[in-house]
Amino acid sequence: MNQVHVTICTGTACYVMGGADLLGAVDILLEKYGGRVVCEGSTCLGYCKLGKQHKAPFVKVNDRLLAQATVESLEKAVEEALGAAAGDGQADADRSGAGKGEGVPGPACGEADNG
Amino acid sequence: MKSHFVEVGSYQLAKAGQNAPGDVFLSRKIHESDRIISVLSDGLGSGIKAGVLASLTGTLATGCIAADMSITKTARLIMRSLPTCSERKISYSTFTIVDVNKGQDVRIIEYDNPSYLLIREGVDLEPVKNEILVAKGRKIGSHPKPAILRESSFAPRFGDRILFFSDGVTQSGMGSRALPLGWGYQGVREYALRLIADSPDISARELARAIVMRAAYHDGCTPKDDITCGVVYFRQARRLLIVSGPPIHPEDDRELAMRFRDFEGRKIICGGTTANIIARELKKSIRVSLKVRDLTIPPPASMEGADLITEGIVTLGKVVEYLEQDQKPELLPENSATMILRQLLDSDMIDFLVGTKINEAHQDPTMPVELEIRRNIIKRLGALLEEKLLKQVSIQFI
Repeated sequence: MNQVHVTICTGTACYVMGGADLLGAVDILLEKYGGRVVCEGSTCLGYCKLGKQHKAPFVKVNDRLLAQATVESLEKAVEEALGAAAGDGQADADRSGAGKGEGVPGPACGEADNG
Repeated sequence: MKSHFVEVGSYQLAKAGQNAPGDVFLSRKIHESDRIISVLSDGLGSGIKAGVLASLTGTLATGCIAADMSITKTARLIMRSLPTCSERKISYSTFTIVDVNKGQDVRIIEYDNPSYLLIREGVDLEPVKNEILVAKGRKIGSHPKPAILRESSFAPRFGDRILFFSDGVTQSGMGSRALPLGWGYQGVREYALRLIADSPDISARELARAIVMRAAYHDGCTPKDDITCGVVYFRQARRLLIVSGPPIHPEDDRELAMRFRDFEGRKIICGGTTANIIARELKKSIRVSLKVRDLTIPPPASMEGADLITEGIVTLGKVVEYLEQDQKPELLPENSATMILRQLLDSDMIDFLVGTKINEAHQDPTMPVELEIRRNIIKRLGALLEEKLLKQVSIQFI
């Protein structure tokens, strides 16, 4: 099963610019999508230092960067990523002839690796 | 004997129903002469009035003893300075002064507080006490009986603990079925010895807290008097390193990481970028915990070799706020700042290694909160740790 990886920056700029609210979105995402979404926290991702066109708070949904992220924009991005992942997954399933009736594992959130 | 560190800890509960405690515990470090003077004073009665008496006594006592004034003069000054209670027509406040000189000599002066306990190698000792008579009151004849002060001195040894407490401790539980005559000096003594036998490394603060909480328990958790305990503990220093901020020159990143790695003691990194630099140099990975959530303080993280990783400026600012307000970690919400506070309280020598690179992103005027310059916060934190908690602090910039 393809999972969507959400990485929330918990650096100073992100946190004071609304990142704290995004941590609340973790519960919403897990409730809505279960194990299809993996949420991680991260120390400063460094995007805040790139200039004025990049505004905190930052969240990464797979490889896509969300600037000025809100709970709503994060949910939307996750939905889109899941849609894309579902498309890929379906294509894989069609090729292999499997993929139906797969169980949804429990929440995968909590601690995340951030090397 | 200078290899050990002198830890001073105290804990206090006010009499139930009173907004302010009538006991005061004060501790002062005099850097020039390497002395630590601690005073526990119990003002007549309870509440604000008693608190004023006790504060006056504590402040006068530490000041006079620090200025090497004789005990007789100090005591006389205190007794003549205290305002007279309008109801009882007397001025009265008990005190215990513990004067630790260079960590090598201890002198204790007691006036009407329960006798102090000196615990060495699991047993309590009774140093010889000299009695000093001091005339009370402004007018001759107003107080016919002189005050009796007791003075004792000894050379402390590694592992010694001095416990001193107000009568709210010894009289706790008085009138109850279990302890009709109160906990008593022997009860406190036995409990303290048992605590130390069970936890030989118990900190001064934890020991003071345990005794106060036990006394409150005897009072049915609604203290019948102010309950205060102070502990002075001579022991091996517990060291803590706090690294915060990236070095101003990136070529010093390696040195920062090496100094972090080679430090002997507990280690905290305050700052995401700093943590990233150290993790990169030491080839470690960082894990951010989303389990600890607080709307104002970013969550903590962990890394092999670090006891704690937190965000920098906001978290350190909160730690300063907690210290300024004398907050107790056990009564605070669990967040990164509380975790740092706990580590600070449980350490004796605190080394700060501060990177001075300024994060341009923090200077954005559209930020909803004003972020302070890191080195200013660290300086304030260092001063608070030295002055309020008598910690040994060093700050190095990189």
